Amino acid sequence: MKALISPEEKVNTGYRVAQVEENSFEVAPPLFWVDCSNEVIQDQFWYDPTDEQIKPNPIAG
Amino acid sequence: MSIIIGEGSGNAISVNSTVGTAGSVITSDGTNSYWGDGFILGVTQTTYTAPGTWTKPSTATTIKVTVVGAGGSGGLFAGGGGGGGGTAIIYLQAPAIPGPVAVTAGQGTNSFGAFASATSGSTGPAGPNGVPGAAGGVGSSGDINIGGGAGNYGEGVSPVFGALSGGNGGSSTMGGGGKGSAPAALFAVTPGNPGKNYGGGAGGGGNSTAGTGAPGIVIVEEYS
Repeated sequence: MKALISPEEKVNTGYRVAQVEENSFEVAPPLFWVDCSNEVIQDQFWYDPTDEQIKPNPIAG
Repeated sequence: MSIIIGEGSGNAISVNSTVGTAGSVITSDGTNSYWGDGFILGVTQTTYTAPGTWTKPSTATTIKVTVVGAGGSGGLFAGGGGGGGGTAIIYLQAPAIPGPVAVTAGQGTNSFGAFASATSGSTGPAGPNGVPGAAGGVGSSGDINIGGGAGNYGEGVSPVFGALSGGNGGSSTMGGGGKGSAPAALFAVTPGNPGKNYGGGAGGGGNSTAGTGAPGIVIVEEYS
């Protein structure tokens, strides 16, 4: 799976997971894609740039 | 008849002429000003509400692309309203575009290749406690980037009165947010309203059914 990260949308101390797709599609910077597990859900997880990990959001959901 | 016009470097020049014929305009060949034929720009518009491919017409000189992300869904249990989709507007010189451009349109993030994108509004948080509305999406890499409106507060569920009102959805530049549900009867299950086209966030649901955000859109205007 691929997670679309949006650095302009701040979540906690990192960035929003704006979308999760099986296959990525072309996007404009600063948006970028990272690999993720099947458990990741849009807006219920966030991307931590300090360790480049996707983590569950304790607030959403 | 004499008309005084600017010649581009701050000096005024005089064009001696008759009034010209209908439709004629004052123009220049780089040396002299004269009455000549006017022309109207050719404009062609293509809209995408589903993925596709834009192919550059040979006659296009400039294009304007407007990208609107989808609206976010509302939250369950009288939750928060979904955010409105972001917007990116970009102007491109057509000859500089190397080839066909992949267009992603509809739900989620909308994109005109790697030139401009707009993310969807966030999904509204679920109740049953009172919760804030979700944030709007953003535009990326446009000449103009506009954030979507945030959804409104959802009141959640009261143990005495049942579901209270879900939050209204946030608006995009094109579509309004859907109204959050306000159950007409005690413990009634009233779904939140969907967002309006294009990119409006949805309202929070009355109990178990939230509204769905409106899809986004990509509009390409070609000038030749």
